[in-house]
Amino acid sequence: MKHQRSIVTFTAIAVPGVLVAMTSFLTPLTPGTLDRSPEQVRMPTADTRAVCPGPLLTAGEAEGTDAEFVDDSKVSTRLVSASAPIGAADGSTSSARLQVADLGGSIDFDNPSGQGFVSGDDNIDSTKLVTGFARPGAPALTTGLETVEGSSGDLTGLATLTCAQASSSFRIVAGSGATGSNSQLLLSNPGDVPVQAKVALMTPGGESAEPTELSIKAGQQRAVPLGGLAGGAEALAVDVTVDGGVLAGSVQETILDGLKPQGIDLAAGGAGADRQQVLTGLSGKDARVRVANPSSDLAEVSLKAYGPDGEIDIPRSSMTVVGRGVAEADLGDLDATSLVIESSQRVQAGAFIGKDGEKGAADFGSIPSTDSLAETQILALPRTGESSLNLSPGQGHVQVQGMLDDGTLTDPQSIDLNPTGTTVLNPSDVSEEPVRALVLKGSQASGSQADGVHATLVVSTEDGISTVVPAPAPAGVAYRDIRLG
Amino acid sequence: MSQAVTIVVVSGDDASKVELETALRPHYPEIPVVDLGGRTVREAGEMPEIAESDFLWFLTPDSRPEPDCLDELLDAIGETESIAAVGPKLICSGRIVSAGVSTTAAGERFNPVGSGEIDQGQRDSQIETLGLDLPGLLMATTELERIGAPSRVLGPAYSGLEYSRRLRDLGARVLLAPRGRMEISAASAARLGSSPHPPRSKSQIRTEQRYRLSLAGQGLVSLFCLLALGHLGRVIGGLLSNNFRPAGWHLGALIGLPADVSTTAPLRRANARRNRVARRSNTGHVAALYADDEELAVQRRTMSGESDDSRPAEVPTGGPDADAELNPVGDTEEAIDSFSRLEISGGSSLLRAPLTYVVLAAVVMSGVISFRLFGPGHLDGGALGSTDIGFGEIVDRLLGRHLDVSTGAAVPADPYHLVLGVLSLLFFGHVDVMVRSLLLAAPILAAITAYAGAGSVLARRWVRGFAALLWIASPLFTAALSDGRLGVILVWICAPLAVLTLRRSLTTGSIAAAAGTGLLLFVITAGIPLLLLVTVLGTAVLLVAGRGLRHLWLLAPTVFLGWPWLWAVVREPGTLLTMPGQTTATESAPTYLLAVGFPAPLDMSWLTKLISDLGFGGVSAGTLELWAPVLMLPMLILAFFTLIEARLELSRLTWAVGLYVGGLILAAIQVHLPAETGPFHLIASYPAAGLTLVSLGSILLLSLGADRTVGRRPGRSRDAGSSSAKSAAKGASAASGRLPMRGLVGLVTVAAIGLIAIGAVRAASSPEAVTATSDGNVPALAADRAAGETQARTLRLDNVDGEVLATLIASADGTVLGTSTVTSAETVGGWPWQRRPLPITSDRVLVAQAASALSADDAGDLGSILGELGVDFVLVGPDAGSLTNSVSVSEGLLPVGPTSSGQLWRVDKPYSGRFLIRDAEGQVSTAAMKGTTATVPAGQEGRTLTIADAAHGITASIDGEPLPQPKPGEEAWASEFDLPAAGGTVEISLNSPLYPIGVIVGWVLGLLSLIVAIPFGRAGNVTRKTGREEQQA
Repeated sequence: MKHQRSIVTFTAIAVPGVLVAMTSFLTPLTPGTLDRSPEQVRMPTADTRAVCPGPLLTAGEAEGTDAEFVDDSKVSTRLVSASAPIGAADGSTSSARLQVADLGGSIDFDNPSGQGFVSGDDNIDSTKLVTGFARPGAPALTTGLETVEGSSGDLTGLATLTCAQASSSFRIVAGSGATGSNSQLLLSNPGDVPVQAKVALMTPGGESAEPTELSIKAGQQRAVPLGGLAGGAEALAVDVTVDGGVLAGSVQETILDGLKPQGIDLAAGGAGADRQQVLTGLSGKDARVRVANPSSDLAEVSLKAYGPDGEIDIPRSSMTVVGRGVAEADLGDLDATSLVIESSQRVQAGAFIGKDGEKGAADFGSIPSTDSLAETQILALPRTGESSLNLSPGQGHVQVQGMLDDGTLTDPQSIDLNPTGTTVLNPSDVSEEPVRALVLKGSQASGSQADGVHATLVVSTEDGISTVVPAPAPAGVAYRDIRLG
Repeated sequence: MSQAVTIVVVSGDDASKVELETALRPHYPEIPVVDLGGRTVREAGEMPEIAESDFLWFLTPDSRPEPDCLDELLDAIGETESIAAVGPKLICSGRIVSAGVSTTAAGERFNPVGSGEIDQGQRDSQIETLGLDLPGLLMATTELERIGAPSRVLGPAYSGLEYSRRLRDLGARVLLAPRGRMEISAASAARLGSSPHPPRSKSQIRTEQRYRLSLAGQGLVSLFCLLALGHLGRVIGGLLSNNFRPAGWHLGALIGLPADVSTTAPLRRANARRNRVARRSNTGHVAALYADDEELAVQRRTMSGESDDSRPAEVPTGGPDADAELNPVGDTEEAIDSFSRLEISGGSSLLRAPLTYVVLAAVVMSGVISFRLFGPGHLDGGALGSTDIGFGEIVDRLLGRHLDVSTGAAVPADPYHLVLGVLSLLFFGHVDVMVRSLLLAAPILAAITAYAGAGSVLARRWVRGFAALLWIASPLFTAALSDGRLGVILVWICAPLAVLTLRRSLTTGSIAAAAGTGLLLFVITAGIPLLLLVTVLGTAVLLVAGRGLRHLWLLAPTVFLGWPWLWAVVREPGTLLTMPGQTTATESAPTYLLAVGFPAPLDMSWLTKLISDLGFGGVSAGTLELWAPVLMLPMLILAFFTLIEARLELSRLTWAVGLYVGGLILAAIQVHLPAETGPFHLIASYPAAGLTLVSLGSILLLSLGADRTVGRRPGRSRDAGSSSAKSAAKGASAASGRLPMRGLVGLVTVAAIGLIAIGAVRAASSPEAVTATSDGNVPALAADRAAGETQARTLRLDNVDGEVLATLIASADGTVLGTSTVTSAETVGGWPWQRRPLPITSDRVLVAQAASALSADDAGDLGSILGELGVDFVLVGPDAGSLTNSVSVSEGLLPVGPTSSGQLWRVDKPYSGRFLIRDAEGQVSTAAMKGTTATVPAGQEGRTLTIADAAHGITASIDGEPLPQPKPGEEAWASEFDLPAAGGTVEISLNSPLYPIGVIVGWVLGLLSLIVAIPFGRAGNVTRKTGREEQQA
């Protein structure tokens, strides 16, 4: 060819240049190696077991396997248990058999499977084990809700807790070792063999000391006063690992400011540590957020808050948490706010909201981190005060069904999610009859400012404020993430 | 007394018969000429001319007997009763051609007359020979009924001999009548020599074969085998010595052997009949007349000496024929140079050879990069996998389609594994030693082959050394050395050799070179599968451009040796995008790094640390990113100057630029195409194929540029003779103007050494490097179970960054054999612009369910789900934290204890492994396995044999009858078979029995191509010429 040399030279210079410019600099194409999501596996059905800790322990009762409970007639401890109908693999819909028994003791009642069941607001005076029995293909959508309400005395306030399920390791972001606070870690062993537990406390200054080891007999509950382990620490997070079995754990906290009761609270472990945490339902005075950093390196955490109308400014937008420690930030007064906490490391977060009562008294409630709404979850409603269900910003809609006294479910209601702000729903709007529990279906919802949609119920009475989170989706409903190598 | 003589001619052609009659009429006017072609003996006997004649005279159409020939013959035949046939001396242009012939004991024709003997009566006394040639043979007519007509299936060389043998077998004698002379044509004379060796034509081999077969009596079978083996041996010998034409003839003779056996059957029968009549059982009556083998060898030597020399030998007198001169006029320097290189070039010290320095650099590079390979145990890590396997496992894998990883798969072995197996043969089957040696020796071998390959394009030694240095400095190569990518290393060693042999095939037309290129291309395809497309494209282009059909040899070895894999590639084309070896998630390099040859972005944090350690203050990694252009700058400048250099040969420039641009585009496409999946990533295709072409092109370009910068090239250029003065002047100015270019070339060399250094440091700091380790993949207890009869698996759980990573480990997992390009490609699907991971299969779902059940607390009894997977052990890796607690809580596991690979649990079930017998109630028990046979005791009806293996194509049979499958339509991942109540021994086969046979046939053909590729032996020009002469005769 006549001009072959020129053509070749031109090609040699131009083609690489154009190719490099186009693919690297001008419009970098997505490279072929990308991260991928894990496989999501739905596990076979298994029983749902939750342990409700029972009445509050007051100061003076040290750890002991047979603690005596103080009977303050002005404090009522009540348990609501519910078993909601759920679709089974063969297409039928039924509710699982529900049993409530003393921990390590006799059975209170055993309700067979049917078309839904809600118990009354029963008074309890000991630790209770709430078991939902799943059948193959039919998960057990059950929950137990403990309400502690004090109207006078030191224990004035409201504490509600969705009873915690047993696991072999969990972290509770609650408790304090400051003066005036009486925090107790309650560990219950629902199994048949004694277990060894290792309790490690994370404080603002890092890990407090060597982890405490203790053993808990089968069917027993032990209380560990946290003040003794981390005296003086303003904020705490409790890390529990279990050897040889599973434990259900909760932290009970009562605060006294001199003679003025400053509130009671029951907290349990939330969703595990992750690079992104979402807390919703921050609706009250003096909201605080507490972040626990389980890794050994320093964690930089960023905060973003979304009110009912969109993103709002908060006094703190970032925090630094020491390794193996916690940090707390004050966020002022908030209303129906969702908080998105992001960090480069895995952290676990919890929040606290407060309410002023009469004569200088106050109450506070803790909000644990939650997993994003699964296909079906159940939330028992406390039979006191006013509740409002807060949903974090998202797209799509959440389906809500109310459970009536006879156990039946109302027609599903679609709640459209607000993509930039928190969605608030009053459970009493679901039906004209009193609604005792909510069944939340989040398969059509996805998060917009964060991964997934999260839900928390805020309950406030005259004297108290507390929160309730939905029970984790039962085995056979939720997906677990597994990486296959 | 006039005897009635009839001339018999067998020509089948009236024209020649008439010609003979005409020629004979002057001397023998009354003798009838009869053509016996096609008639039986009885018909012939009834012909009036035959019936009334006393003697038969056999002539060929070109025979011209002398006037007194017939009388002499009649006199001779009348002498004694015992003489049954006589024949004249056959003359051709005054020289005796044949005067009685014989054979050796083996049946090769021996003609005692050399070519060109003038008749001086020297043959007149030796008249008793084994036989006579047929032209001119005079025989009594009565013998015709006794022995029949001469055979037509033997050629002219043996028909007379065989005919005479018949007479001798009957006790008669065959004599030469020396005073009878007959003239025959030169063409016939040429066929009547001794049997030549090497054979001159196909017909010669066939007729010899037929003659020997016709004489075989009892020993037919042994003769058949002897002939077959002999031909086979000569075929292989011909291939080995590059004589393809005779090899083809022998192959034809071998194939025609059965036909020849049947053709000569009537002769044998007649032979046997005569032996019975004469009550003879051996050939003792003719043994004395056989010729010795030495005599035949002497004859053959004289024959071959004459045929080579087409002109008579002459003493060189300096006459007009310049070629005959001893000292040709021409380039004296070249002649002297080629005569004695040692004396002229002066100083052959090793230090002046650039190859020494390149090899030295390669040795240092090998030491720095691969020092971690020294150590006890075996190699593991990177893209290599564990080399802790035996040779038997390699052979099993190559001959079967079953890959024992995870839940099992039925895929053919990669060609990569075949290459590993063959290389391990050199080390007596020690795979580990072979891999270590290969990794350590690779830079040296690559440097040497690059030096040799560069010699086909470049002449100057220092430029060749420069090219070799650039070749081993390539970042793809150093990354492959540290990561253990044996495929890339093999390509790096073989690619320059392939260039060399391909050029030789194109320039000299040698089939051996084409076959050699094909074998090297097979190794290259085994290393980097995508280069198969380049091979196919190249072969197609060469065939279309008419460069010769021998270029089919480029593809043949790949087809022979890798046909199962090629078949899988046709069905799953994404296989070409994957690389053999373990799957590693390397980050994709941006295109500007690809353009300078880097397969992955490098992190220079080690340099940051080094600089800050040295106290020069904090240098951010961002500024260090500039090292890439700085290091590459001399190379880019040299390339630029080479491109604009006007005196570069255009075809070479086009090749270099074409390779570079093609490789860059290919690499850029590869980097954007997902090819396989890992647990955390969707992994792009490793750009090795594109970068190989980029390296070839850029190094060719840089070397050509370096070549031009050093002044006038030595006398190999075509216009050397014409304008030497002009080019010398040009060269001098070129040399002076290009001195800065020499500095540039030196800078490029320094940059190449810098690249090697960077590659070495990367190897030291990379977490994915190959190291020597004694730890196994799984604890010994689990490994024993995996290799044992039940082939139980282990489920391994790791905590990676808070997520649970589950791996199902079977016996081949994690080893060099435990990978397959086909299974890696099967996990990704979709059109090239939207490739996505495919959903996992049901067996993998089961693994994930088991893993999630183990990692969640309170998940119920896991024994059944783990038993379904054939899992006997659960292993939790070290540093798993809460995962260990979760697993310990699970029901159905018994803790074994901590091991070097992590915490081990045993699954609490009464059965073990993957071969299970389930009965109708759901009870499960282990089938007793012995090798591939399961012994099933008698039991109830309705039992099924479950093989927890996801490979399809598993069949089970009792006493040859295959067992039915209980749910033939349903897509279960495990194989199930109905068991009879009586039980029995069940034969389980993992692949069809034809597959290993096909693979072995492919290996045999591959061995054949290896033999063809051996470059020693005659090129075959001589035999081609004489063969044509033979065929004309």
